[in-house]
Amino acid sequence: MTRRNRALGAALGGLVAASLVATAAAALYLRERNAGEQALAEAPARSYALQLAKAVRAAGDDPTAAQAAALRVKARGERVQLAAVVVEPRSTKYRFLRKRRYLAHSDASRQRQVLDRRHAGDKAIYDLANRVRHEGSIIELHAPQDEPVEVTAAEPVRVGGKHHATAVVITRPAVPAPGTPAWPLAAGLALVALLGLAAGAATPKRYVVVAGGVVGFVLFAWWQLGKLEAFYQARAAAALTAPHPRWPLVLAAILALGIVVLGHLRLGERLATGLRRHRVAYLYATPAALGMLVLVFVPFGYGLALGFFNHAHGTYTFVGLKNFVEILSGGGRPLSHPLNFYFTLGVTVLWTGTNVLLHVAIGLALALVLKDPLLRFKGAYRVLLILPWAVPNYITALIWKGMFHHQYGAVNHVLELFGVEKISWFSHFGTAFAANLVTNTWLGFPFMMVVCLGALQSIPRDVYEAAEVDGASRWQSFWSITMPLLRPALFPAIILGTIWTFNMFNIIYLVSAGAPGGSTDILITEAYRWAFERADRYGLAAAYALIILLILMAYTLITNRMTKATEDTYS
Amino acid sequence: MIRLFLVLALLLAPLTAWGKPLVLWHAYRAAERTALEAAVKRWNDGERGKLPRIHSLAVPYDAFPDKITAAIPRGHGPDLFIFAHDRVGDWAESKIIEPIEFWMTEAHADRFLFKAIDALCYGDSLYGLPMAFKSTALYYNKALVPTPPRTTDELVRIARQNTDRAKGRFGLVYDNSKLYFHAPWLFGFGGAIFVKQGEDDRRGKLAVNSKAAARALAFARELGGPDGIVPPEPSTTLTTTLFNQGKAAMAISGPWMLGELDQKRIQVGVAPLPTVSATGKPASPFLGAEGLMMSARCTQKDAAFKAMTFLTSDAVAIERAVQARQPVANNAAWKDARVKADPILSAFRRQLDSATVMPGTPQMRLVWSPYDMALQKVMNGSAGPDKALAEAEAEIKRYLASMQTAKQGGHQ
Amino acid sequence: MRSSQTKRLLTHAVLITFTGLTLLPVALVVRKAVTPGQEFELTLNPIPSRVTLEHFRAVVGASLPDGTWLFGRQLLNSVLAAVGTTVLGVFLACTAAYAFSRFRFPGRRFGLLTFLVVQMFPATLLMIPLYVILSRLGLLSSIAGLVLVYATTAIPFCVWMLKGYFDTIPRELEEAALIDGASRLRIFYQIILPLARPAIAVTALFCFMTAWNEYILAATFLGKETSYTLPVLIKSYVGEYGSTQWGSFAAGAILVSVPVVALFYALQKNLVAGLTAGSVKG
Repeated sequence: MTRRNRALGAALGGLVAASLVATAAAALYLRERNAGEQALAEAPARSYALQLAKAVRAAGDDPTAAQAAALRVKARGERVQLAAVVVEPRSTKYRFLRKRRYLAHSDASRQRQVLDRRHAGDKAIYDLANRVRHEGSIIELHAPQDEPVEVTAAEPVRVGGKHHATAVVITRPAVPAPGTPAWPLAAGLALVALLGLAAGAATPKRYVVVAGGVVGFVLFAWWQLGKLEAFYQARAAAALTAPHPRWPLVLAAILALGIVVLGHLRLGERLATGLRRHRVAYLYATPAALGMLVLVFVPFGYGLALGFFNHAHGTYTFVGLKNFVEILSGGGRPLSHPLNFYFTLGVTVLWTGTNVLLHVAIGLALALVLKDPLLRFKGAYRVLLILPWAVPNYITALIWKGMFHHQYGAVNHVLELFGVEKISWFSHFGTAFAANLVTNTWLGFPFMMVVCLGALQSIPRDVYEAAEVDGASRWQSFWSITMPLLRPALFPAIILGTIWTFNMFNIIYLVSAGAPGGSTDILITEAYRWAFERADRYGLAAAYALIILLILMAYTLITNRMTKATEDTYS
Repeated sequence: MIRLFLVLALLLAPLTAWGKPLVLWHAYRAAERTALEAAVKRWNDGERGKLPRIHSLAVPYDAFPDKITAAIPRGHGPDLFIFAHDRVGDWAESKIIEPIEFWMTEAHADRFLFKAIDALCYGDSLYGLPMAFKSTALYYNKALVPTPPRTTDELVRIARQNTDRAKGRFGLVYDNSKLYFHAPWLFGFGGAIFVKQGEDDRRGKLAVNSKAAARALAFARELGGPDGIVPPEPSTTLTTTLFNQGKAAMAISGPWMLGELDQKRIQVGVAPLPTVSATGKPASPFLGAEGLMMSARCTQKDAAFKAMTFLTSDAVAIERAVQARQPVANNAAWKDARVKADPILSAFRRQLDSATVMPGTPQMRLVWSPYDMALQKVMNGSAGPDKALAEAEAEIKRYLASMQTAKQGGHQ
Repeated sequence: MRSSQTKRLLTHAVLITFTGLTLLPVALVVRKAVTPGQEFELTLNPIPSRVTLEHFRAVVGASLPDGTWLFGRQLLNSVLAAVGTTVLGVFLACTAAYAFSRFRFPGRRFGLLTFLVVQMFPATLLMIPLYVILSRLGLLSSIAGLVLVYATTAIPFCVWMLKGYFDTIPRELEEAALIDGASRLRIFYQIILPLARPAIAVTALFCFMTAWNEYILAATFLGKETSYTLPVLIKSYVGEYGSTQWGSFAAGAILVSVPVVALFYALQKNLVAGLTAGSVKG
């Protein structure tokens, strides 16, 4: 396998693995939560509510009968509150004003009373009764901090096909004693790990060290699971079955299997020796890696997983590859439509290419001029030319937008001076694209100029002197000396510049705003619009982001081969 | 000694729950902010008994909705916040805001302008109390336009007199590429966006592609076309700039423009938008209500409602109207002599009578982007009104369908 | 001689024209900051007709009703965030870049690629998970939390830049020092870092600017007005429907740009400092 193929394989493999793990974890977590909700649906509170609803329906309109029926509902366990609530429209003027009174209540003094603010808990019951009219039966778990857990069930009471009243039951179930699911897990894990080690261990000393590590890991896992216990206690209070989540077990099983395989391939050993040999390197790389792990990789994993879900009003549902299919099939729109993915992709590639070309050309040209040590006022020029980068781009982008205005813009004024007719910049794709390009070039060349200046500084002068002595012309020394020596510093900057330009949101959004008709939008502004301007579709936007990522990765790996930027450039 | 301390601590512990202030977020600037903070100070320094203090925080406008959506579900949000009503539906569905009709009475609701409080309803519940209302109206430069036009024919006539494209002077300026500013013509010609199919219909059926809407678009094109009375590529920034420099005789904008006008240079007048001559209906702009809403995660809901009542009370409303020239939503404020004497505020009040409440439903939020695109196409001539509307309706239907499938398994 | 003099004059002429054109939009911002009135000026002339300092006074004098000097606090917050990000970012990036440049260890290629890959993912959607993580760590609404987020998002770029520069420093230097008995750490601090000063200057500038100009994360994570940073203050002049107080907005933008320009001017000398020329051959 060539090195390129290996790198490509490793990168893609890593990405696929990361996506799968993140998605699997998220999907499992959601499924557990849904299973918990499923179990919740079978909680005692629900059956009481159904009994109460039946009793109230049977009692008809007679409140006394309803009250008596309510009190007959057999409720097991303490602290159960029953109520049947009637909500009727009150005012024709305001549809939100309604009459609300208790038809029945486990506290007999409240029967037939109006729900009002003087009684804590009345509002919650009223809101439930309202929701039941539209949502049907509801069952909810409330586990606020430092307060007892509550399970609330509400059932509609239908008389003659019409909604008549709502039966509400609030229970405060006793919290069961904490179980110990971690024991079997930990024991099993330790056993499996030991087996794995036995398969691959070489010397007794290493065996002891690694076994100690595994035991430490097991204790750590047990401690973490203990913390998770508290979180799942509340759910266990309501759920009659499956009081303990299954996904940590699945994760632990995968880990144990992994350890066995690694042990068998003697990779644990190789890892240990590797660590020892390169410990200085790892020491230097670790602080950055740690910070990135928490604050970059975790959100990154979230973003990867999100592409496989659909978001609507705070609820996420797993949809598999649907988002990607929607994007890659063009969303059912023709190829020339601005919202078609391939159209936007084409615009983005064109945008990136032209920008990077201009940035590097202008930046390098200026750096070459300014590096001349005999040039006067060099410092002044340098500081002045950095200003486009220094002033925040959210205000300069708006200034540029104003400059491209058809009637009052500065650019059209200048064109008129040269006898050219005024252009309506944002009415056509080409001109709107050009406006964006000019603005972004203005913003971007200082960065390239600084990078080139820095890189040019590090080329020793005697190399040029030697070339001059040998009779090389300026042009020759530029191409044969400057360019090759600039490459190590320049190519990373170009790759990064490409990535940034590909994802340059501010300029496209503020200057052309996608005009005309969304055609100058690039992939990232499309993704943003899906997430924040059209139906809050975070899942679709995340899928866009993942596709952007894959495209950029492919680009990097291809140019990597061409530039060998990750390898030594020393000859 | 320690025991005594512990006992005292235990006894005083419940009071700490009351000690926690109510956090209020808003996006006000300048005079409106000063007026709000004066009201908050009155609450804090006044006789509030056991009720908590209010602590207010100003958040930049464009970060506001995202901050609310991120913070409240995670427990870091405010107890109360002030924002426009257009996201009420989304926030209600996401359980971010609390329905407050439980504490309301008819008398309390009667204190407010009906349209303003209606805007804050979603489904059958009320989600906030209105602080102010906003709609566009017709601004005119008194030096160029002595009396404001009553009909669109008059408007066009006066505007043509004041238009000289070569010199950069225009008769009317408004952002004609946004549905929000185009709405007066849309509703004035009899068009609609959602049409209710009966009493219980919460959302309405999409009715974007209609003949009336096409006529409204044609009218807007007439106004904003190559030899029209509206400058090309207008924006809210351009509206303010041109009007301030006397280069625009009239403008369609809302109360927010007042703070940016140089009233020493230009004699500003505001009037309700004219009647559409072709149909005889008044040009009806969108009405927005700025609502004071309660977070669903608020831990002191009763106290928060009392604070809401205070901040939207008549006395505070009158102060806000007088000091910050805010078009407040309390009926009593409009009977106050000082408020009545303000010609600009009175104009906005009259405009409210013919304004159309902007729907705060999640479905409405999907309409803006495609409709704006249709407007853009018509204004730069790349499509005719019928075609643009058909495309917009198709696009909106696609978004609605995707929203429906996303909510499978959820509630209506 | 003469041809080089005309060449010099020509160079200056071209540079002056180019600089002038480049500075025009900035000059327009400055003009708006000193012209009275809050509207958006349309003319091209960068010379203001009337000059006033009222906008700067309004921005600098921003304060809470109880008298707290808001601008002062927010300036301090911005400075703390930017300096913290620079220090942390440069430290983390230098160590990591040195490792990637000098050592060949398993996971090196993968690490470099990952650093590159994470920059490719558009960060607009990552606000929610970052919010959750910071709130779990208890770092929400604090400058420390912002510093951590800025520094870690700046690291990938910094590592790539620094690695590129470290690669151009000849290994013979270190090998010579190693033979002389110096430890790795000494080599790192006393030989490599001084030689890489231009790159470190660029890295520091980049980290500083990331933290100094960042708006959306600061606006979302910070919960008190006294914890806001300057970009949040400036963006608060932009209201609904695009209505903006342009005078204050422009004045704020100028104030916010001044430190960055000053920093570049100060670091400029470092960029010019002499380097490896002669140190190995001599």
